Amino acid sequence: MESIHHEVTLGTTLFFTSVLVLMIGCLAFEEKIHAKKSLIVSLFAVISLILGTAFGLIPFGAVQLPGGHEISLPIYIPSIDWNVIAIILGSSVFVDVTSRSGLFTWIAVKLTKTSKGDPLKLLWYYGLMTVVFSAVLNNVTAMIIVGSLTGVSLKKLNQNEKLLGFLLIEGLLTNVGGLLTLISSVPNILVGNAAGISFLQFFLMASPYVAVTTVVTILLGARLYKIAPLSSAERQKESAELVASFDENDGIKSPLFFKFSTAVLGLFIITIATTSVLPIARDLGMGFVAVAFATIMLIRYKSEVDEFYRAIDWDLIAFFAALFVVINVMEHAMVLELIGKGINIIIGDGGSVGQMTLLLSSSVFSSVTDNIPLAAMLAKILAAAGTPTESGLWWALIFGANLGGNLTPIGSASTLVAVTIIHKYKLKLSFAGFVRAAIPFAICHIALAVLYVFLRF
Amino acid sequence: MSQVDQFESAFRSAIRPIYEPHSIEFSKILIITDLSAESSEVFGKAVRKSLTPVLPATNAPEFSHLDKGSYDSTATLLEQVQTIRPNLIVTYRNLDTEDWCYQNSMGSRLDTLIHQAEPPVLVVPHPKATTENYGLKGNTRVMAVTDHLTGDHQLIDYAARFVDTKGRLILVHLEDQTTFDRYMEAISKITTIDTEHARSQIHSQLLKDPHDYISSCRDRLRSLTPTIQVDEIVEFADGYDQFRRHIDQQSVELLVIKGIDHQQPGIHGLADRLINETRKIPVLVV
Repeated sequence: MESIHHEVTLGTTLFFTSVLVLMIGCLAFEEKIHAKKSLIVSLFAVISLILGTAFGLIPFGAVQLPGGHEISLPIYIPSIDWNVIAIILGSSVFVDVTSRSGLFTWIAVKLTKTSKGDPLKLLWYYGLMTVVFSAVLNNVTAMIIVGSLTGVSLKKLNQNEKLLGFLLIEGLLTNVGGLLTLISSVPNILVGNAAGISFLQFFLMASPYVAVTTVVTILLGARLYKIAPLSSAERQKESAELVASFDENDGIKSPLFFKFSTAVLGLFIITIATTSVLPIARDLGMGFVAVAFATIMLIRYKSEVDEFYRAIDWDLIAFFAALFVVINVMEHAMVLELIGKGINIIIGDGGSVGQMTLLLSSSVFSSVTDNIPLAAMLAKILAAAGTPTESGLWWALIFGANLGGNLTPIGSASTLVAVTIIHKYKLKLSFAGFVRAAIPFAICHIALAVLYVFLRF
Repeated sequence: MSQVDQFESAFRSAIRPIYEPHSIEFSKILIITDLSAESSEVFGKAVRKSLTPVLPATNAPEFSHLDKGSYDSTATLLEQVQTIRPNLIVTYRNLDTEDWCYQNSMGSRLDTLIHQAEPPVLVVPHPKATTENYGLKGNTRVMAVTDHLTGDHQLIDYAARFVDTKGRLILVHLEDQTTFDRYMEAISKITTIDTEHARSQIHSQLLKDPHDYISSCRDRLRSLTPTIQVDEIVEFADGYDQFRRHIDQQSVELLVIKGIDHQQPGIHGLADRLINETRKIPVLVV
């Protein structure tokens, strides 16, 4: 692509900044205006491209490939980060096919039975499962699996009064678990890719924080929602009998495919974790690995692959593609540079105070609107500023963008799923009610993150 | 369909209906006849002999008798039952009426007794309708029949209680094809539901639940009595005749059915018809 340096007046930059602010405002009120975020951002992508072309900001021309070849592509095609799209696309299909093997329900039911129906043990198991599933799958799928199991099992155990506490804690833990690996959440992928952080580096840095925060969240949740072990032997026996009626093998239609899925999932995690050092995979990238594994898994359903294509979250994919286009135009309009200057004032020299300020401001921002545009923009700004991989600013952004989602029910897709399940069970929880309930946890999570970043950098 | 719904369905499907046995106590058995004291005694002996294999050797139950002259109306009969408070009532069809020869009648006394009295009622053929031992042949082939078997622990408890230790318990769940067809007709008019997919899924799920429950009954009963044989018949039935056909084909010696279930009003019709028309073998109405 051509260099992004153009002669752009401050007035033009401010005009495009207002377009960006308007888009973020529309995303914040996504629910109110009853429009999917993909459509909102796509409309802004169309407007941005027209305006960018009209203002003469967009550098049209052939795209140069390695080896000196040139090809002609529409300007909005190379502006999209296809590696990120491939990771999301491949991972979602892979997880969807793997879940058909009954593996995730097997794990979930097995843990339920192991708890013998004791509420506190269930909270620990479901909490840990939420974190692990969020890390391995994605936050939304993890919440859907664990949340739906929680609803069914607590009803079976006649413990419906504990449902609100369980679902809230699980919803909050999805964002904690989403911090564990580079592919656990979209902000991680965006920021990690921009920073050049490998999967292993990411895991080694994030895992101590995730472990401590998970334990603290469960302990705090058990205390606030009075989730305690069953006291009488009679109730213990009764609960054990009730959960014994769960059959973990029910969802396994083919034991062979179950074993195959388990093995491939293990291989997928290992390959993704070592992509940065694996020959061939290193060159082809994480997106290729995700799509390749999804393709292998689809062999099992070779005659009905269209079903899986239909199940892809096209809203999310379209959202990303359009967002990359908008950001690209904003880059040409020098909006990112302008924001970068503002960010520089906030973060100063990138020291502890700057990191803390970035973490807090990004968490507040991502609590009211989608954390993906925030992560995408700030990652691009930090990269443009030449921020080194080992800088704590990257981590301030990662923690802030992920944990801000715990402040409000609209802060992240997984907490929104948790609230949806809560409402499905006719439990009352308003927006303000969620904020009141979540604030002790969110403060605790953010405080721990600030402390952790401070200690590590 | 949302993904939450999909996973909830997967987890609900993973919950197996498990049979939980409860002990059945027969400490007081009431035999009701419309016979003279002498004939009633003969009938009582036959009943005791038939019940001996399934009653505990120790703690033998106390037998009470109500025969001709012990009651003069249904009301007084019910009062006597209330006073005695038996665990089991044994009587015969067309009690205290002369309608025993008519196919579709169990008699008003018995009808009221079955619907009003709390304990289960063992209904044997009318003494005049049988030539041998009042139709009490033994307890080696006992069949429990219903159209709603899953979770009906009580029905299984009683049916299992009446099977000899080396006997055969046949658990029959017949799903009503007509009702299924009616629902499918409604589903076929809903554009958002794939009719054929719904048909096959609902069809197999309706049979899966009773099948799983019977598997659980088999495991549990065989753990208590290893020599007992538990067989299953789980299928869709075109109508009442299919119930009848299975009863005849299996040469059943005792039929166990559900009498009153306020949650399942449809059972009344089935129970009444089975009691009315099963005239050659005893029927235990739980």
